[in-house]
Formats: sequence, C-alpha cells, structure tokens
Amino acid sequence: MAGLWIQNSTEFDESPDIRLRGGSSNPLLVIDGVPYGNMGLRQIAPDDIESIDVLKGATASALYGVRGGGGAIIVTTKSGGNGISVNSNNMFFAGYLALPEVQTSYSAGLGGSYNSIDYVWGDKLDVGIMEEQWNPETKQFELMELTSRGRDNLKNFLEPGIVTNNNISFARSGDIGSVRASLNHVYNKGQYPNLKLNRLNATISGQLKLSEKLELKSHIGYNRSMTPQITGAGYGDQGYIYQLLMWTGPEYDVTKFRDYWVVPNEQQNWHYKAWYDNPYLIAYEKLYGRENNMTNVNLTSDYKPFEGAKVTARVGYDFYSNEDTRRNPPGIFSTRGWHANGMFGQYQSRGFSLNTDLLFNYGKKKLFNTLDIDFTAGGTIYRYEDQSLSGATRSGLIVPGVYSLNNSVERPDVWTSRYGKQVNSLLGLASFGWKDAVFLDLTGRNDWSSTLDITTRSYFYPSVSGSILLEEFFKLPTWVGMWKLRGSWAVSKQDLGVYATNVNYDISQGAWDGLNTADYPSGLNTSVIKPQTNRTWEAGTAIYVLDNRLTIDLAYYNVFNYNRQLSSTIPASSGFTTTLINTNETRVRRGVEVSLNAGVLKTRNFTWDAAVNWATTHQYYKELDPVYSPDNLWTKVGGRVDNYTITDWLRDPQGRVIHTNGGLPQQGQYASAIGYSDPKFIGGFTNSFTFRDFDLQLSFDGRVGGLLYNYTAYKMWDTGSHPDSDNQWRYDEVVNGNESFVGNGVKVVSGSVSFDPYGRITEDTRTYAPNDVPVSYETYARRFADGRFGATDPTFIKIRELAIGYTVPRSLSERWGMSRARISLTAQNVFLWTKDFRFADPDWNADSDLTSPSQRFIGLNLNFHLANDNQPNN
Amino acid sequence: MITLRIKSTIACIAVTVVLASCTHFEDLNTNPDGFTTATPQMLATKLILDITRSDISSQKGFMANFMRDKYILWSEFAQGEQYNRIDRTSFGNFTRLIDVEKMIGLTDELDQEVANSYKGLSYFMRAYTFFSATMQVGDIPYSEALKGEREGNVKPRYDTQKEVFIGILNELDEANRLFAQGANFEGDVIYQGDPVKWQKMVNSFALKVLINLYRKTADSDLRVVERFNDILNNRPIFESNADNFQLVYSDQENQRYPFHKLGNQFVIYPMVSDILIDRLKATNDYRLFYYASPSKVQLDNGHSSSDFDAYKGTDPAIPYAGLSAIHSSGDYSGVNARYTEIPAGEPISLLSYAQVQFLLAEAAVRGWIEGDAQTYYAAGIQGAMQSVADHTPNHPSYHHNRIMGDAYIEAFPATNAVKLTGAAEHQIEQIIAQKYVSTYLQSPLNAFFENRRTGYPEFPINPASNENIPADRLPIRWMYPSDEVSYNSENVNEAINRQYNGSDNVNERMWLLKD
Repeated sequence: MAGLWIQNSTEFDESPDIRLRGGSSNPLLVIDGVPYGNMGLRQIAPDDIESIDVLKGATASALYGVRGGGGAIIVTTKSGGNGISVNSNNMFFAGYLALPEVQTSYSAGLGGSYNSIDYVWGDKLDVGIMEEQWNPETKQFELMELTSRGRDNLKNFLEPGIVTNNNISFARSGDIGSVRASLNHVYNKGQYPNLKLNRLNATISGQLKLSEKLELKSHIGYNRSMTPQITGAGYGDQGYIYQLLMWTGPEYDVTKFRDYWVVPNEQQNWHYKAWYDNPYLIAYEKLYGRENNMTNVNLTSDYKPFEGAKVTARVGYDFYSNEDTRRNPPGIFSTRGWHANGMFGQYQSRGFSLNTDLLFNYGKKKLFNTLDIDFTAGGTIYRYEDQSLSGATRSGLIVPGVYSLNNSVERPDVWTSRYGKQVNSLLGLASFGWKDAVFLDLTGRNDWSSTLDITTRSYFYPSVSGSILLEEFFKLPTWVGMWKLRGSWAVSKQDLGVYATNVNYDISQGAWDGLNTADYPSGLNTSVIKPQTNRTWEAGTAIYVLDNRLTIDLAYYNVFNYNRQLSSTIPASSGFTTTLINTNETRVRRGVEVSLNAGVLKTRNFTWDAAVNWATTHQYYKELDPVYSPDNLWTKVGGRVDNYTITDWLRDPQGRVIHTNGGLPQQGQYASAIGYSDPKFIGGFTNSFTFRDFDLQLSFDGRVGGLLYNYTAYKMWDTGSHPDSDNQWRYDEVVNGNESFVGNGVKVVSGSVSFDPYGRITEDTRTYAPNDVPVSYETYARRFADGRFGATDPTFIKIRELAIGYTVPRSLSERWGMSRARISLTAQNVFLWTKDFRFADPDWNADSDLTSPSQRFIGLNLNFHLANDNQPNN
Repeated sequence: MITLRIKSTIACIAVTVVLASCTHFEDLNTNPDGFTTATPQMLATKLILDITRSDISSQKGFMANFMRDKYILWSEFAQGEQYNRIDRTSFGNFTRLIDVEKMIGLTDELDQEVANSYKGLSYFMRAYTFFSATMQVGDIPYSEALKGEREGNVKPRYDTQKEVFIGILNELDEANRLFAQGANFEGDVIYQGDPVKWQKMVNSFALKVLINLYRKTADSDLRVVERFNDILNNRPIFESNADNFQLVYSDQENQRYPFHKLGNQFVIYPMVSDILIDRLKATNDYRLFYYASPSKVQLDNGHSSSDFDAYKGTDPAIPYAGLSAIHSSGDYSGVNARYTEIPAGEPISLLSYAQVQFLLAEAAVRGWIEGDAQTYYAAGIQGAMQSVADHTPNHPSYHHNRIMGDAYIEAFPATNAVKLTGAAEHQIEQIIAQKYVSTYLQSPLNAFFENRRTGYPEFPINPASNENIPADRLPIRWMYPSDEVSYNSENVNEAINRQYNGSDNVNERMWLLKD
C-alpha cells in the first residue's frame, strides 16, 4: 500500500522496520483492540491472524493516544471456526542477493609485504612467493607458498539457512460461543555456524455468550524464543564479514580452522595477534545467547443494555521476562564489548504493560430516515513498568572454561534500572452518515501523562474527517462506479520519555581504588516541557471505474510539526552541551500517495489483478529558532531537513580535486551539504494471477533517489580488499616496486585561499596545474576511496516475492476429510538490481553497520483444514 | 441482568480511578536509582580523574597526542596528528567546571579548613581548564562562560586572551591562599588530599603559565617577572619527584597503564621517531634503552640490544608509503616493552619536578631570577632520569642491561655533550631539548606547546607529506569548536575578526605568540 515503507534487515531474526508516511518510528501494534506495550509482530503466529488493517496519519492517535502518532497496524486474530487446521511453511536458502566480492590477488599486510597483523595490502599471491605462515593443521608456523587458497572463505564459511514455521490450530463453535487453540513453532537456522533460534507460540481464545446482552471474549498467549548465539553480524560487533571479507586476506583457508583450540579454553588456533579471531571460535565460544518469554492476556466484555448501545470493558496485559548472556574465553583479540581475559555477563530484564478500557457506544441508523449516527465515549488507562538487573565479571575469569559470575577475578560489576509510566485518557468519537453519501467523523482525546511536568501534564487533541460520495449528488458517466472525496484534519501530541524531567548526577562505582565519582549532567534541564504536536491535514480522492475493475486513489498530506521536544545543542562554553526545550524551530512534511488497483483481466478460468503504488514525501523547515537552530548554510526556512553532509575534498572552480604537493587529495575543513538522504519516491507493483485452482503472486518494490552511506564498499578501499583496487598500479607497486599512480585532479602552483566561518571562499588567488605527482597507489586508494566518502545513490528495484499456489478442489479434498488443502511454493528476495550501491542491500536503509549478505529464500507451504461435522469453517 | 445502578457505579469507579492515579505520577516519574545530590569527595575524584585519566586517554587516543609531540609514528594509516593536520577543538571540558561549582555548593557542612581545600581545588581546576582552552585557540569565553544554568546565558561573549591569562593567574593565587589554610580532604587520587602538596602544584603550575608569557614581560598588567620571583621566593613549589602531579596506575580494571597490551589491539603500530632517538644517541643517554626497543633487523645484523646502534629512529615527516615499508621491513625501534607488558606501566605526570627545574633554568638564563642555570638544569635532568629508573623493574627487556645507577645519573648532566654552553639562546635550546627528552610518553602535548613556544627541538617540515596548508610550515592553533560556530556565531565571529582578520585558520598567530 502507498506510503508504507518496510525496511527489511538481512540480519538474523531482526524484525523489519516499518515506516508509515516517512514517519520516524514503527507504528503501534494493536491486537484485538489492545495496544500492547511489549508484544511485537514476532510474538504473533502468522496463522493466527485473521486480518491486518493499517491506520495512517493521525487517526490512530485519536484512538490509541500518543503511541499511535506514527500510525497503527490493527491485527485481528482468528476466532471461532470449526475443525483442525495445519499450516507448514518451510523456507530454504537459495543463493545471495548482494554478496560482497573481494580481490583475491594480494595477501594480508601493508606496504606490499605479507604480514598477518592487519589490512589486506600485502604481497602478490599465486606467483610462488614463500613466507612463514601458520599451518592450522599442524598448529605451527611453516614456510608455505602465498596462494589465494582462501578465495572463497566467506562462501565456505556460510551455511544454508532454513526457516521452518509449523502451526496447528483447533477450533469449535456453537450456539453459546467458540474456542480456538493454536500452537506454532519456528525453527530458524541462520547463515553462520551455531546461529539458530527456536520459537514457540501457544494461544487459546474463546468467546462466550452469557445472555442476549452480555458477551465475553478472552485471549491468552505465551511466546518463548531461545537462541544460543547471535554474535557475528555487523561491523561494530567485529563479526564475520568484518573479518572474512574486509580485513583478513585470502591467503588462509578458513575451513581448515574448524578445530579452533590449541589449548582448550585458553589458546586459539589462529595466526593473527590483534583484532581478529578464528571465526569458528567466535561462532562456538564467543557467545551472546538470548532467551525471551512473553505472556499476553486479553479479557473483553461487551454488554448491550438496550438496542444500539454497547458497553465494552477490556483489560489487556502483557508480561515479559528475558535473559541475555554473554561469554568469551581468554585469548581473544576482537575485544570491543568483550574482555581479553575472558568474561561472563548475565543480563535479566522483565516488565509488563497494562491497558484497561471502558467504552460506551451508541449507534442508530436511519434517524429521521437519513442520518446514521455512532457515538463512543470512554476512558483508558495505560501503564507499564520495566526493570533490569545485570552482572558481569570484572578483569577476567579465574578458572578458564567456567562461565559464571562466581568465577570473576575482581568483584563482579552489577547494575540495575527501573522505569515506569502511566497515561490516563478520556476520549470521545462521533460519526455521522447522511443518506449514505456524506460522512463526518469527529474525535477528541485528553491525556494525562506521568512523564510531563504537572503544569503541562494534561493535553487535548481533536480530529475531524469527512468524505463525500460524489455519485450521490452528481450525475456521473456510467463507467464511474463510485467517486469519493475525503479530507481530514487531526492533531496528535507526544509526551516526554520516562525520567526526562529528572536531573540526576551520574554516579560511577569503584572508579579508582574503590573511590566513587559523581558527574553533574551536561544536559541542561531548566525548562518546563510541553507536549510536542503534529497537526496533519489530508485531502484525497478515490475513484472506482469500469465496474470496479479499476480503482485510483490519490492523497496529499501535510504534517506541521511544532513545539518539538529537542535536546538542542548549545555551546559547551555555557557549561552544558545540550538543553531540553520545546524549540521554536518548526517543520512541515508534505507528501503525495498514489495507488492504482486494477482487475486487468477476468475470464472464466483466468484472472489478473495488479496494484501499483507510488509515494513521495519530504520534510522542510518552516521556521527557525534564533537561539537553538544551527547556523549553517543548509538549515534555512523552506529548505529540506534531510541534508546529507560531508567534509569534501578541496576543489578548484571546475570541481576538480586539489592535490597536495605530495600528490595526495586534500580534504577541506568545512562541512557542506551534497544532497538529500530521503528517497525521491518509493513504489511497489504487485500482481496476482489465478488460473483455475492455481494462483501466482509476483511483487516488486523499490526506491529511487536520495543518498545512503555505502559503508561496505567504502571501507573496502581502506582495507585493501576492494576488487577494483586489483589493477595495474597496484601490480606495479607491489611486484615491480614502482609508484606510478597519478591522482586525477589539479595541484596548486601559487596563491592562497581564505574562508569565512561558513566555509565560503572570501579570497582566492590560487593558480592550478594538472596534478602530475606519482604516488603510492596504496596510500592514494586508502585515502581517496570512492572519492565521495561513501555517499551513494541507493536506487534499487527488488522482486520481493514470487509465489505459486495450488488449492485442491473442494470435491477432492473433502473426499480426504479436509475442507481445504493448499500447497504453495514461494520465493522471497528473488532478485535485486541496484544502480550504484554495491556489496550490500540498500533495502535496510543503513549500511553503516555492515549488513550480512542478503539471502534469497525458497519456501514450501502446506495448509490443511479438517472440518468438524460439516460445520462452517474458517 | 445488570441494572442502571451498576452501570453508573462502573462509571464512577472509572472516573475515580482516573483521578486517583494522577497523584502518584510524581513518584512514578522519579527514578528510584537516580541521585539528586552527591558529595564533594565524589565530585573531587571525578574532576581529578578527568584531567588525568580521561585526558591522558588510552590506546590509540593516548598515542595520538605523542604523535603531535613527534615522539611516535603510526603505521596503521597516515595519521593527521603525525602529519601536522589540525582541525577544530572542542570546549567540552568546560562542562567539568559545572561539577566544580556543585562541589563548592556542597562544602557548607564541612569544616572551614577542609572546605578551603575543596575551594582551592576548584580554582585550580578552572585555571587549568581555561589555560588549556586558550592555549589552543586564542580568545575564549571566560567571564561569561558557565552561566547556562545560573543565568540562562547560552551565548557567552569572548574575552581577550590577555584578560583570560590575568584571570588564570589570579585564580591560581587564590588557590594558593586557600590551600595554605586548608586541611586534608577526601577523594584525591593524586596527593591523597594533602593541601601542602596541592599548594606546591598550584604554584608550580603558575610558573608554567608565566613562562608561556615570556614575550609579554614588558606588560605592566601581567607583571610576569615580578610574579615569577614572588612565587619562587615566597611560596612552596615542587622539591622532588615525590611532589610530581602524576597518576599511578595498577593492575586493576580501568586502572592499567593506558598502553598496556590487555585488550589493546594498537600495540602493533607505534614507532619511535629519530628526533628523540638521534638526540639520545648524540648525548650517550641511557634513557634510550628504557624508552625504546631495538630494531629486529639491527639485532639480526649482529648488534646486541645494549648497543646504541641497535636502535633506529624513523623520520616523522617521511611520507606514509615509506613509513609503511620501513614498518614491514622491521628495521625500526618500537616502544620499550615496559609500556605494553607491565600492567602498572609507569606513573604519568602532568607536571613533574624535572619540568619545574627546567622552567627555573630557563628563567635564570633569561635573567628573570638569580641562581645558576646549570644547577637547575642538572637537577632537572637528574630528576627525570631518577623517575624513569625508579619505575623500571630489573629485567633485561626493560633496560637492555644499560642500567642508570646513581653514579651515572649524578655524572650525566656535567658531561660535555650535555652541560650548558654558549650564548643564552643556545642554552635555552639545550634546556628545552632536555625537557623534550624528559616528557617522552609523559605530559601529553607538552612537547608540542613547548616547540610552538620556543621552536625547539626543531620539527621537520616535508612538503611532500605535510598535511598543513600551506605545506611549508606547521600549524600553531586549533580552529574554534563547531558548536560555537553553529550556535554562538555572533560572539565567535567577533573574536575571529578582532584576532585573525576574519579567518579562523590554523596558521594564524594568537596574541600569546606575538612579540
């Protein structure tokens, strides 16, 4: 659907990031009317979902408060039904979408010599050069030839990924109610050794009709997931790609290092002495394990006192209890966040969220023969608490191999935290429909939040929306089935984070020789903060033509963001580096969404439905704050907010790079904006075909424009593994000892330049000549890289899904006792085309953490439903 | 059947619940694990650790300052610090001075004399922080600084560098007065709260500030020479290495020597410069064997590790490709094993007895004070050597069998290559050169500022590798912080205009460096 941007992570078990309308956070998840605080999409079995609706804009705010400010995803779970349903979905790994390639001609080292210390700017491989290298099988140094025996290290290290998802559910309905139980199991085997996850989900839901007027509903779920190891991905984690692809050379064969101990639990079988560890050791010994438990309960009662009226009382509660553990043996070198002497850490967290609602609803149709009305009024209380208790060994492990807090050299570090928040609300909704042609909705909501100061704690936000069906008023041509105009105006507000109004010293225990330290916060907190406000108005139209074969939907929206709560930067000479204020800087986000749905072809045996959606949105500065807005060239009224800034090379008036007298490119000292990071637009194209009992789904989506930091490709120039660096100049330097590379650009012959504080040139007397100084290709490549500091156009198109299914005809399946049987083959992440982005999938919108290679999955899905006594099934 | 009465009861309960909950919101939004107040001891510990452990930094950050001092070369990549690239500084350290204010605010409950010690500490911290900032950029906010909370001033005006120096000297005078009337205070990791030692430190630091004003002796507001003599004659200053302002490391978590090898992946990169090594060789100084380790290639060539010729310094101005080649070949001297192998390493001083003696020697040569320059000079050298010898365990890989015994240290300053000779300027060069040798991996950035002040020892300029623009000179200041430029533009631009003609450039000469 238009405006919905799902950013998929290629990382193991990481949930997709969902953005609506370019918003800054994930939308609220509402399950059966309860906006749980802790439940996520991963805690719901897909087979328990009856329907998913998306509430855009600020409508969700009216219903669900502050948390709905980014939109809401309304999930309704299955209830009722009869019989047994089985669903089995199995996905198998089938190749890579964006696998980084590396050069395989040069070894580890620097300056053209082999050295297993760091970097991949070493000696030439496969030409018979002999060097002392580590033999992993004899576990000692031996004279061996430098060859590219490790050219396929990453491919050989990766394992096939499987995700199996199996579900069985039972349901029974009757006159007085229904019960449904469901059990779901997911087994996820990741791309790396020892990367696996088990998830179990069990739910029971039931409905009971106590009388004509009173109905009770309940839903209980339990979710548990366990994984022994999630380390290894990303750059900051010093994980597998960091090592195997970027920073270590192709002259060692990683598969020979599976036996990773020289002395068990103390010394690893590995040749590097800094930064990197044996990847199999990382997989099996440097462990970050995770155990998550979550329970949720929903009790709802609906009472109908008289015709048209309903009183709903609802309680929704979720509770989680998680434990993470981290451990590593002594003797490791990738120590960021770990300990070189060995460590064990235990991190427990638990918490709950509680939503209670009491709502009165009254609806009447055909009042005065023309008017439909529907009123809701009521109150909600939302409360959550989180607490954590963690401990970690300090200074290492006493006895190697024993991973416990009891085995700490110095007394273990202990730390703890507690958070809590409550929001009380009163809300009212009124809907009117006149002659089924004009509709009007009004909402109003007042919240009292615990995180704001007592004087600004209460805040009110209304909304108005309406639509008109034009075909009721005007004579439209016959091929127009329906034409709707709609508009809305809504306000949504946001309170502060928990404890944001507190001013607390930062205490450090045992900082030096047992002494404790205290530090006054460097964030100034002297203002009373008001809620932040978004005012959205939207206008749109939907037109259904040609017998509803074609629908066109257009929407334009404008979000005005003011009273922004900001930890605004202030000069440190004031004694503080930030101040928490409502800034007077305001912003406007404008966007357009278009979607087309067409039943392209419809014959007796064959149908083809297609949908295209397209959305664009940008955010602009409306007013600047004279005190708190930054003073630079790209922050200006009416300018875009998403400026992408770099500190560029010095360039001559024609834009050519200026080089030093030593032949190296010169970086300037002032930042400048070179473009925008938001996409120009995003879009999708989905197709559904049916032919008799077969169906086919094919969907594409992509983004065009903007800028994204292509960290993987950029950093590979520095490390020496970039395939484009395997060229004649590198060969000449390493093999022949000649520095023959000349940088493309100019050098300064005479004169000088002065800049104003913004970096604009005030005086320039420089004269130039073409750069002709030969330099070391290694030095030049490491400094210049792609020349753009990694800023790359992330335009891409993906074939996201291709699925073929076959539904066994009723007549056939019923003979086998099944009311429904279906089998389908699906492929996900089928194909990726990128314009400039290399070695990483720009779909995740943030390559700065070195994403793992995107995997393609092919899946097999089997779905059976066994009916019970020929009752209607679900 | 539920009646109307029950329905209205439900409504009342709902409303009551809503209203009743509001009263406990204050409690809910107060962090039970948070601290709204602290003790002066805790703040004092934090402040002292800030200027020592935090500023000294660790691993690569530790060595980065010594690259600027041209003691260390770095083979990881072409480091800007080594090749003379200077960009913007930060006034982030000013936030520490808010802790200073809070510390003073909490001393009301204490004995008058203990409170005096904390107040003395506060003046010293302010003087130290403002001195560091003005030395880097020139004019800084001083009288209007630190008023973000008290007065809501988030755009402080800039004072002139001269006004700042007068303020610093006055604050050091005040600190001296307060410590003289002070008593032992808690939370001190350097002197264990001894006010007498702090008094010596404050006055010794004042001498260092004054020597930096050596171009301004004619200024009657500053009275540089008069103040110098007043301190030397009337106030206590460092008398021995026991008075050194130094942080003593130990084998505990977060207290190990900043370049110790545990968890330190950077031990493979540093190389020692020829500026240091050639000087040590020229004067037959045994500190060579304590500072550096021999070149693998020279050992293979037959030299022993107690041979001067086994040690090879590298030119810090050599282009990176050449540096990388030398590193790969192994023909260079790295840092001595005691910096990486010993968890406690050696104590790192910000101001030492030796440095104070060198200050006095220079003042004597300049004619500011009575006294024999050679005596002070010799005392400085001996203090520095003794400090190195005292903190080196007796193991061949740390001294390579060239032990600096008492007799060696006693005799060294009078040897021909070392003793002061020639005209005043030459003597000053010798004094600064010996000070340079004494601050190897000590007093980060001190050598850089001394070179900027005096031109000694001479740092090489190689246009092929120099990253300063223009490439024929070394930069002499930092640019103003980015948060000043973006959020205090009016005031910082005024300061840039009146000092540097509108150009915030690293080559511009600040008031302090002008004759």
